[in-house]
Amino acid sequence: MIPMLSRNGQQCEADSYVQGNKPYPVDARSEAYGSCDRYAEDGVTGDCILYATEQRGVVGVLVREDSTFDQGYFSPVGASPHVFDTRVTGTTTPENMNWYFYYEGLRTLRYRASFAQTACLMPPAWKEETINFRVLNCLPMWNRTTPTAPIVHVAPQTINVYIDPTLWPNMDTGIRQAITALNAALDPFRGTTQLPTFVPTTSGPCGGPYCINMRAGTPPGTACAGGPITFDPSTGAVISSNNYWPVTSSSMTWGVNFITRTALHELEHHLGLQDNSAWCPLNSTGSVMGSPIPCGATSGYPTSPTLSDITPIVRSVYGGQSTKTCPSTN
Amino acid sequence: MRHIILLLVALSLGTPEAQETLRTLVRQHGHVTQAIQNEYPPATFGELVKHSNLVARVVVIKERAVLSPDETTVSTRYTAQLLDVMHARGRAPVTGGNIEIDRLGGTIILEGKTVNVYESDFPNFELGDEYILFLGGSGGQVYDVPAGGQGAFKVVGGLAQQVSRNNAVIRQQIPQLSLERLRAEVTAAASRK
Repeated sequence: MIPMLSRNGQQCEADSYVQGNKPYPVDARSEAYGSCDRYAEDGVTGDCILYATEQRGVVGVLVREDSTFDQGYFSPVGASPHVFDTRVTGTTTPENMNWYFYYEGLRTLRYRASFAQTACLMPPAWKEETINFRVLNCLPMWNRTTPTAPIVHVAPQTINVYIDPTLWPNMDTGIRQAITALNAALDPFRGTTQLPTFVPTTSGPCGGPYCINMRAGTPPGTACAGGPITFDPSTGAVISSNNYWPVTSSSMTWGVNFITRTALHELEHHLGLQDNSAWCPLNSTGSVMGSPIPCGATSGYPTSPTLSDITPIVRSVYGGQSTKTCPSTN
Repeated sequence: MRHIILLLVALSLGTPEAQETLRTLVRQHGHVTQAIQNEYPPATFGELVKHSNLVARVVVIKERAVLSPDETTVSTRYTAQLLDVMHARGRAPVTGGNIEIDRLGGTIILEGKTVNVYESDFPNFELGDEYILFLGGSGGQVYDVPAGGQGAFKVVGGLAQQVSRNNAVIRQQIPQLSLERLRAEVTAAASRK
């Protein structure tokens, strides 16, 4: 059984992920837990928790229920394991064991846990376990209006992205690059999981769920871009999507990378992801859904989707697991 | 005749449309919700003040949500009582008087269906709640909030917290500010301009 992560005690993902590289202080909302209840045997009960704290890249392992943590190590799959000196003796929740993950990706955690016997004064038993989980730079956030509301999403079909011909050429190029990058990031997961494919078009504007209009317009206030996604509140299914880009002398100078990142961000909104800015580093390895960037910024952000952007999509919303995603943050 | 029917069917399926109006959408789908995703750049106090004509502590006393003229979204006009002016560009409105603030979002009944519109990371104002707002807008008495949720601080128990959660540069650094601290930050930012 692949352990599941949950936030605030709720099931969160069908495959585990933990969040690393979070630069911000503790906020209870973004605690992430993974339970692995696999020790109910011979009258010995116990469980363990993968615990993603709010500190930078810290993941701890807690072994509860009168147990003693013996040894732990993790490694990238296929590589030699790196053994950590994390022996802790004690009888309850050794919360001071922290492991640091600096890179996104699939990890394997192997550890031994021993448990105080409940009868016969038997010596402690131990069991070695392996857990596969994913380390993400950023904690995925979902666009939903209440904790139990469905995630905003679109059916996995071809989605036309109308590119308004009156947008600046850099915008046209950046939006097309975003479409190419997002499709490429989703491609490895096609087959077992049905996923949308984005197709640029200059025929439009268009309507319905299988169209996103990238149009010239005036976002409010200081916003660099933006627009409405309209959906059925009972299902979360998108029924209309529009994004407006300012065609001004200022936006004419925006670089293609900025446009690409912003367009990717908007396309991921269409797939259900919400901004995860407060739990995501502002750097090139973060997430296109990450920290806000100044209009026209030339660096400090990824220009293609990261695992933080793709994993929740392919494991949850479009993996037939939409009820197992993280609780609302709205 | 057959060709004409085929053409009409093709047009009905594939004709590009302008942005659908909410009226059209509720007729087709019933109740709808609209999430407005606006990408506000990160703002420091200096940037908030730069884009503001008025920085004030207010209490929201009235709201009226309306369908936009093009029927593609909903906005709400809030009436707020001015409790304190922290910064004003030009002539400040009178403390104790009312100001009006327009912003995206709100709930209306359209064709018998509920249309709920919210701006992501900028929850709709609540009646009776107290805020410190960084307001821009026209020279008249109707203001807007140009920095979205970053330009709104909810006041509870004498402490102010930036409404934005995801784009909140200030909130991440200072989760809660005393009113005195916030005033000092505004004054300092205004003096640096």
